[in-house]
Amino acid sequence: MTNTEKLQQTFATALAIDINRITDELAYNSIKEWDSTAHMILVAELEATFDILLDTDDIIDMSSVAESKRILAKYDLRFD
Amino acid sequence: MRPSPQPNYTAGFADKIFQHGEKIALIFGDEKISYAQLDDRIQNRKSTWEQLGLVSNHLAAIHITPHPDAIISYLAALQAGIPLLVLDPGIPDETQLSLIEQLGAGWLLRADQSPKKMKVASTSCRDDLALLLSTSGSSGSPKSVMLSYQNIYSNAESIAEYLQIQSTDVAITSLPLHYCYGLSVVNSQLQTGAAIVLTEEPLMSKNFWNEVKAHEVTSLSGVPFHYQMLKRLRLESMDLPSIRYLTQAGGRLPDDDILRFEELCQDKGWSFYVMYGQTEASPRIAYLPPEALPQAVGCIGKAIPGGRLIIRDLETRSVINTVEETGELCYLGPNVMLGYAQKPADLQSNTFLNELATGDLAEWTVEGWVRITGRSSRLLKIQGKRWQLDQLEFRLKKIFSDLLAVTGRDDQLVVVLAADEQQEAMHTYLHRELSIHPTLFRILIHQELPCLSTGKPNYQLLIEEAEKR
Repeated sequence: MTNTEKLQQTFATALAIDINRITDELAYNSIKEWDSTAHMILVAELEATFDILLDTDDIIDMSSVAESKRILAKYDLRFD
Repeated sequence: MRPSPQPNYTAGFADKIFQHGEKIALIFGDEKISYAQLDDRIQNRKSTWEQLGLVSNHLAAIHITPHPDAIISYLAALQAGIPLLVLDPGIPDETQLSLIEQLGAGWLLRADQSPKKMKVASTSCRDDLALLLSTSGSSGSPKSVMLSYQNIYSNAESIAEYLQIQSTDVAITSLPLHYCYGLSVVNSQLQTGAAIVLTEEPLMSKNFWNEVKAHEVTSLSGVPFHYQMLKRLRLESMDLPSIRYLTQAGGRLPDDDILRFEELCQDKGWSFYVMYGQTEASPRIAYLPPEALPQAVGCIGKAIPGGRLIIRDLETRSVINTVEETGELCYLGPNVMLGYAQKPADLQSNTFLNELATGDLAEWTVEGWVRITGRSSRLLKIQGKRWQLDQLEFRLKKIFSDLLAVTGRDDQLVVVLAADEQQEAMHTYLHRELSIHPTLFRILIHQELPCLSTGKPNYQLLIEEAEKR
């Protein structure tokens, strides 16, 4: 699985929505499913999937799928 | 003119807004509203309502959102003696409407909108009734808690006293305001002439922390779920020089987490208050003084000022004074609700409740604190929202089938089904209709429900099984 696929799968699991709905534009609090609960689960899942420890600033900056890719890139992860 | 809605009514924070003058009451984005300005707007609001025909002692419904306009309506209603049915704006419209019709709220008050006239007539209520709050979360429980002016005002005073809130303090809305804990934070700040930052930004967003820093917020409040978030955000690494104390309520925080946050607060020079309450007590009942930690970890502490805790034998109901003997925790105080309401007639009752049986099992420790040892009724708190399992089971049975059982522990709900084919529908219902995240519930399939000799499902066995998987 590529990193992009892994990322989409992680979002789909954490937000409990269909993987087809995971687009770059999808933003925190823009849909009912991406609430605080889901956000916390998302952070935990991202850390587990990519075996990283996110900084506080990165956690609170993660406001969209696109933004999450930008942030994860800082942890030497590539999304093509 | 400030009418007295109650014969032996003593004025509370809502009546004393003007006394705090030029101090800042509400902060909303770039807007800062002083107590004097707030009072002006409250008086205007009351005049408008009078012209519209909103009258004292007649029920109205409200969305108390973190918005100045909603706070103005809330305080205007308290001043004018208009009892409020507090609705969770997040629950489906039809559920809200059925609550409005069931109890008879003639108007709906929402931020930045004119009061909306409802089809149903306003129920005439007992004159000491101030608020109707829902006992459970998103389920839109048909049972509401009736709170009097005295209930709310006395609780705000007690909280301000034991937290030693100062008029220079600044709180922030980290909890929803239709939730009794969230509302009590606002009440106790207003009681003291302190300020509140109104925001809908979630705790896990950059904007929330920007507000905390920009307005030099001095306290943070949260349910156990918020503390999980604070843990994940690595609160210890955040630079928050203005914070003075943290409060936690709305469910049991695991001992390990209490110790972790206690240590963190020690390092930062903050105080950490572990508290206990119920909507039925407006809501605060007990708190653990910060200096009692870490020794008293796991205890809910002592009664708030003005209240009294007693533990009663489950069978004889006599008062237990022996250390480490379990009984039901009961509470007496001026903040104990008037009673429950399910129909308009309940709003006209003239009964009072002296003592509140909490449904929690508790014991006295050697040091004189109260420790919760279990629950006598089947209650679950999922992210601060309370679910009465018998009610939930009843509801699910009506929709699905009689052959199911509902159980759980801490923040895990377990639904046991007899047939495979309903699994998906149940999953969808719990997730979509009841808004419970899929990681917070489990569905087990059991062709034959394990039962006790009484014929009741063996809930204990089912929990153990769910936890093994």
